[in-house]
Amino acid sequence: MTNNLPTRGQLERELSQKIQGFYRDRLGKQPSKVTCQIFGSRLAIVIENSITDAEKLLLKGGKGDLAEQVRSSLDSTIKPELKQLIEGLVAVEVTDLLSDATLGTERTGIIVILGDVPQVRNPESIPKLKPNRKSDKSE
Amino acid sequence: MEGKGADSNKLESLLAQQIKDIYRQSLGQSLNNIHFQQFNLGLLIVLEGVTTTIEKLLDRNSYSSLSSQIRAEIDRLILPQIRDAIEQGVNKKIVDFLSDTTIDSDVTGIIIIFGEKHQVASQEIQTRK
Repeated sequence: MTNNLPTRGQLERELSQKIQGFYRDRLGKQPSKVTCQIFGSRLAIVIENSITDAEKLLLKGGKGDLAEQVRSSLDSTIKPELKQLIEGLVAVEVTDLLSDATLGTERTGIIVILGDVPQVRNPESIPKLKPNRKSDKSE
Repeated sequence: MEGKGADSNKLESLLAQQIKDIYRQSLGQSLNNIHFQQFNLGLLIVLEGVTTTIEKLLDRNSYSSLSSQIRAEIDRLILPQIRDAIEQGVNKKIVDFLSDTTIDSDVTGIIIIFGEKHQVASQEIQTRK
């Protein structure tokens, strides 16, 4: 049964491909690169060239505030669907999805908080995100 | 923070303490936990216990728009201090500092992209032109 599971690498690749397609379908803009990495029950996603031409034009035309507003609204709009897409791929509930973008660098960063560690064929390859205990003790 | 050795752990502890101090001094807020994880592009940080009592109170009592507004301002004032502390501690230029907070889950997530590429491998895809 374990053999039916994807490896961590396969799962991260599939996530990257599907998220790239999702951005292309929803925003009409295909990001040049999507990087996904699983850390325990967290998933980090970095999307390069994620900003649309319209936002870039607004920014160029001195309408930076409006461009920021557009980006924030776009992120909020696609968030529920993106959450659903990720849940379907990792087969684990998404408890939170934190997202931010920088118009200047055209980069979007997303941290997904999962209800559990996704099941993969090689679970030992998933690094665990551990709290910084030393600083806790120093309080 | 290149390796996973004693120096890296020491630096993470130092940064965690600095971040906790920033929250305590600015908001009187004690963070529950700080998680660090390096990856090929940079650094992932998750801060737990970021939401203040007033934000939670407003959020619970139909003032979620106001609590979101307060959080956006708090992040605008606090996060640049964290960015500076990390840039100085790691001694690398930060080219991107991407952050978001959810009041409900009491978590701030930060993705930091450094100017230099980190060593840890990860899966990525690139568009073929």
